[in-house]
Amino acid sequence: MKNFLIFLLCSVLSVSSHAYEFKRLTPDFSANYTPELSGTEAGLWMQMDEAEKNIKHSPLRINNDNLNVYLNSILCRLSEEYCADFRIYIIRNPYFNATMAPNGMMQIWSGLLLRARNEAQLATVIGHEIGHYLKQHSLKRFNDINAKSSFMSFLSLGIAGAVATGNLSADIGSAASDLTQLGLMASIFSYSRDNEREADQYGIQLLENAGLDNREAAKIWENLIAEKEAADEDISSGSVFFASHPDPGERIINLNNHANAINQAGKIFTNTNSGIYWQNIKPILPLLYQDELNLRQFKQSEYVFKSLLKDDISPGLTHFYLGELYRLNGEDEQQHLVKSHYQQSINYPDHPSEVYRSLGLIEYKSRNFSKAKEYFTSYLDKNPEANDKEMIEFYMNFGA
Amino acid sequence: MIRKIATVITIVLITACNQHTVVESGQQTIDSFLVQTSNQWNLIPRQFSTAGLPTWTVDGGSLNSLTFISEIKDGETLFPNTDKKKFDTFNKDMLPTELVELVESTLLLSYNAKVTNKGQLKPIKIGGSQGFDFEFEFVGDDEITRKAYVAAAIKNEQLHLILFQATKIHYYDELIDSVKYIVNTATIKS
Repeated sequence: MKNFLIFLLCSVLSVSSHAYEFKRLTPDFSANYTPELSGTEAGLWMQMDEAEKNIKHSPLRINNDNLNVYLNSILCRLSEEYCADFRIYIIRNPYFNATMAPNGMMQIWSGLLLRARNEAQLATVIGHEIGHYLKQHSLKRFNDINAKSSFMSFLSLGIAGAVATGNLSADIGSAASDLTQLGLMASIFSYSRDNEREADQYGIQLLENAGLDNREAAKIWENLIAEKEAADEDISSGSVFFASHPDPGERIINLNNHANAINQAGKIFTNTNSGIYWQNIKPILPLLYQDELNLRQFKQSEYVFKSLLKDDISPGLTHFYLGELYRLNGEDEQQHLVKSHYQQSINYPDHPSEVYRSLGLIEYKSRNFSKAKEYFTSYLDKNPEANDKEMIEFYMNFGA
Repeated sequence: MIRKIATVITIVLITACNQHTVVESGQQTIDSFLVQTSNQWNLIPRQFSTAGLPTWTVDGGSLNSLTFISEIKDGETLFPNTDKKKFDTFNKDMLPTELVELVESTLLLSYNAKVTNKGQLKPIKIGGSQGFDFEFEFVGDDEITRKAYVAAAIKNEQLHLILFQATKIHYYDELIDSVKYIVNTATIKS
């Protein structure tokens, strides 16, 4: 139903989009900018500098050198002039989000990396965050909130929270619990939604600098809506966090309109750079899959894993984790899928050694001990230093 | 005057409720476990303990804690009063490899944590019952790396489990030998 409404709105707006002219945004300040020491902004920067020291050494930071270099290269292609003003940190957080602090510290959550399908989609989000920085949204929002009330933190400037049902929404939700503040909250969220729209516009404008296909920008939101629908959830409901962000359906329309207007006026770029994106993500893909599974939101995860399988991303690994998903979900009618995905996994060269252990455990529980022993032997042959080696050998000696 | 006396009594009662109780070294019975301890521990009041379960500590619950989980039956979650739709449940046919996932996922969802390292999974005996133990490291919202040591066995189709958690820096290494002494001397009542 939601898709139909979006289609209807798109159809109506596409008629008027011929008259739409894309207005290019410009930064509020020049590169290498630092605030004056005496001002409010300097205080914000100082606090963010302190926070950044902790993030640098956080055990939840993903320190994959190649991936960090790759994300920085995207950032610098989007905004070469300001490249030196930013630092990117990849954080192990399986939800879809990214944040930008006023001092140029950008956080990319690992759940975003699993959900972007290509470089163009990730660059859309990075560009959006750069937009927040170049338009000084943190400072403007802080001043706006201060002017209205000082009750709420200014810090949560993520683009999305699209599937973030965690701490951010809880924090803001608790602030909203005081009914007398609700009118004020609506005003603040309205201001924030304008920031988000402007950042979306800036992000899509920056894609041109990197020569990336701006028609991918809206797709990331389409995928998020589809993911939520797969879990029978409405993307806009249940989270006060979304009050601070435009409706995803509206974002799709706006991003498509921006893209159409830019493309009608200039060169159309068709690069999505899917290959190089997944080449860089693959080393951490098992970690992303495992963290996603640990959320125990099986319907959403199933949608994500199947989408990757459809795009032929690491089929051996993806089949294995789909098998793991159905096993952990424990639904009787899905149990035949467990073994099926494990067996499909081993047909691909990128299958993980753990798939032999999983197949061995299925056979062991079915008391097919000789078959179980074969799989366990394969597992230990491929993984002689396995941390469960003694346990597997125990299975092999007592039964298998 | 009466109001003052009532206030004092209330404060005394509240304070008494929140006090840790000393667990002397020697033989102790905790639900289904009968264990020997080599040093003194402190029983954390239930309202502050891990999921309201019987939990001991030496230096304070956030630094180190030892939780005894007894008689988990088929279809039950590891921690009481948790949502069965969200948390994994015990199945009497689970193998140790699957029980590791049950423990890890319960802790991860409870603490919004991530596993950062996995240790050995080995078969052991707990008071004559076939069991297993394993270690792993995890990081929760406070971004402090903790280590967990888990020893467990299924007896009479019920899961019995001892869970030790401590900060990786200092406290885990300081207490792990005492914890393993408890596990090695533990028996599970029938």
